[in-house]
Amino acid sequence: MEKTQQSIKKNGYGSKLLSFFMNYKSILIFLVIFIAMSILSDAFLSSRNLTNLIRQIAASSVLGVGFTFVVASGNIDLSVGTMIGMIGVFTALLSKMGLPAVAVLAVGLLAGVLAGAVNGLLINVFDLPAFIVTLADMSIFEGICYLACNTTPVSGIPDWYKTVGQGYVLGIPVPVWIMLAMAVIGTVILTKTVFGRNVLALGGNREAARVCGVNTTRVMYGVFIFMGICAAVSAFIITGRSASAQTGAGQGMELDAIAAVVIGGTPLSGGKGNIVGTVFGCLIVGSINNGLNLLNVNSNWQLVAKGCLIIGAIILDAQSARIRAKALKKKVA
Amino acid sequence: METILEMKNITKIFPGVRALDGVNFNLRKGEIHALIGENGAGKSTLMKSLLGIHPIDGGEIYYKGERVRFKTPNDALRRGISMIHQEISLVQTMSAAENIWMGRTRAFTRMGLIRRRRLLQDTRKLMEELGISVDPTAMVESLSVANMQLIELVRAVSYQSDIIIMDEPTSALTDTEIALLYRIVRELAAKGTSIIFISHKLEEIYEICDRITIMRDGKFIDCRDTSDISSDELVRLIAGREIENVFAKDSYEKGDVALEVKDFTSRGVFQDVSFQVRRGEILGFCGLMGAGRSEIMRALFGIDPYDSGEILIQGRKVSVKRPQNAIHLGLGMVTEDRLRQGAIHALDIKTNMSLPLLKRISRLGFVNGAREKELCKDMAKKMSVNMVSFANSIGSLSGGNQQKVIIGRWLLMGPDILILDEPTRGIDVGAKSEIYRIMNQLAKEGMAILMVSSEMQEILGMSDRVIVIREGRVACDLENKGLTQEQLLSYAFGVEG
Repeated sequence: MEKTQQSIKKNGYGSKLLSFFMNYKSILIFLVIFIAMSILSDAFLSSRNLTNLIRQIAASSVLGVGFTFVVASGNIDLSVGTMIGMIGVFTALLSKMGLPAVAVLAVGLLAGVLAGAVNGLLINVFDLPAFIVTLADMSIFEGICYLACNTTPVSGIPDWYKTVGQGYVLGIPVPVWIMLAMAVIGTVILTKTVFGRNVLALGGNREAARVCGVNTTRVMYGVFIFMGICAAVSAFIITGRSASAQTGAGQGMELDAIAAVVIGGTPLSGGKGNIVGTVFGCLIVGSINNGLNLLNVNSNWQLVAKGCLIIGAIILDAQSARIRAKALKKKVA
Repeated sequence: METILEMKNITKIFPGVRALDGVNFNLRKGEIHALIGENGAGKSTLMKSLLGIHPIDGGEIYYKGERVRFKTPNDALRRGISMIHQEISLVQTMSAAENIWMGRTRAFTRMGLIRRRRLLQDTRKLMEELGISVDPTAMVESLSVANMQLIELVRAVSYQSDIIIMDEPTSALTDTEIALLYRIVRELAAKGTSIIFISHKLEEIYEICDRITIMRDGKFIDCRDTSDISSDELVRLIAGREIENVFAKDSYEKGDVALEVKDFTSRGVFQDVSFQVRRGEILGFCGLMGAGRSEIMRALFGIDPYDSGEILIQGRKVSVKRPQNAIHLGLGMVTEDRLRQGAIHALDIKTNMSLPLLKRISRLGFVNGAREKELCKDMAKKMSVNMVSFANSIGSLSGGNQQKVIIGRWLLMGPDILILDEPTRGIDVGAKSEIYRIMNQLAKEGMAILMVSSEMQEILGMSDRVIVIREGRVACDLENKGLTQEQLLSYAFGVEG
């Protein structure tokens, strides 16, 4: 510890600041985008728009928390988008049948756990790559979703369900509370528990983790099941917010999640995870979508912009790793 | 003779270690020049610096009288320097001929299509000149390792390079193939090609090399004519002065049998392996590459499955199906391949060290962070890990310090039995002697240690007892009293009387 403090003193606060922004560059990027959007569009800073924005972001952030675990463990889950659609339809149908709120949400969470367990099972038992398994399951969940609701959106859900997406507690939207809770839970699990450490070890070096006695099979189940739970919670928010279960509710959200996770500083190669970064990644993706909407930019151009953002973030990530390696070299010399 | 290549004062720094420190090297036209030194002495790094694989941090390179700095191996290749790497670098799913001319098939095309007949014709001609008989149409994956190396040689020659670098070219070859290689190398040298010959085998160097450059710990030690230096002196220069003092092995009272293995078998890998090791004893395992030493250890620790046999720990029969079981039974293992199975580079030093320990210092799944920090800090101090900060990636450490972190990882678990597979591979002499000191201390405290090593000196210097593994079987099990390198080697090669 003494050495650490010495080295910080020696290098001055400049490098401390630099390393902070290296770790949380997503915050910096977000501030830049936020300020730019405020200048470009009068409507952006209105409380109405900001509330709207944060509600949209809440659902993707909750999903992003689970996705950070998946990516940190060196995996990917393409099935979460359609998983959201499926769970949304399930819970909407059950709630319309008059089941109590607790039961509906419990069934929704259970559906998420099972869907995640299926992903984990196929990956573990048959030793398949997560990419292929979740790609196939993406289609399966979509099919089940359509079968359950006859391909028509489920509307007319009870009021309690709408509250989940639209209500306020202490003047703050319910989805924001949920988002904060999930982000805190996720951060605690990732940084403070044995499971979290094992996730990082697995993503960093699977063989080494196994040699160190990490039960890699169990960790894989844990990661995908936690992802399923996050997808379920995200589905509750989306369904409540739009007061109906759209069959295509979560479509494309897996790609937004990948973007947010990477922008947030969790490398796709695994071994590291930054949940706060992911939340800011979601804020970035959300503000860009929202701001470009307000500026009346063609939605097709918005897709192009999002793609450019992801590429930019990855380049930045690769460059900062290089800068860090150089700084280290100087110390030795 | 004119000098074709001169490297002056070359310095190369990797995060955490000075890999090359002011190294000088010069090569004459048409000579066969040996580059020799222990593992980690910096031979490969020097060559990679020459080829531009590692950009150098200091020094100058003159090639054919002109100052150069190659950016990539291709750059060097175009200027006439080719290298045969120790690891096979061929595309397994393509033919021998396609591999030889890879990247240059344009010369054989007509209107964009490859004229296969011309390609094969040229390949056959080249092979005939060299006296090599390998079918040029054969898929590389179907060839023996020796033939693959010969294909690499043909490829290097086909560039008509002025300098060919060979990194341990004979390691996978049989005697006849080695003789063939020597002949080819001599003919190339006679035609004016300069050869840089990296090797660990002294007899080989005396057989064909004109001059020798000796490196140690990233430094240039000496450059001599082969005829001008005795093998005793050469060994002394390679090893350095302190060689006698490196091994700090004392002998202690041996306790009960800590581990016994009976008829341990994994079909096709090792058969009927039986041995026992006592508390306070260091049991050395040696043998040739691929004899099955590491495989036995891996199965013992539950990394790989085994077919039959018994494992007894403190006299009790146990089953080890996965590393968790082994750890639970009081075993620890430092694996041979630090990069792939040891260090986790994405994680910091502390997290790397505490991984197996976490379960023990957690409550309801939550890690006791303060305790973790305290234990790891003490261990890092005990192992004298030289680091800037705990929070840095383990990749920022030198190989020796990484190894100390990995050994510390297991010592935190307080194991009764510790398996060390090539504990000092690729680390510098200073760190080596520290690791030996730690091993000695552990044995004194009553730990049973199994040590696999390819370095005979290490085996003889540190073991109480030595087992030689040959072709997956125990060839001998001897007390280390008056044992010699020659004795062990004769067992390893299976030529004992």
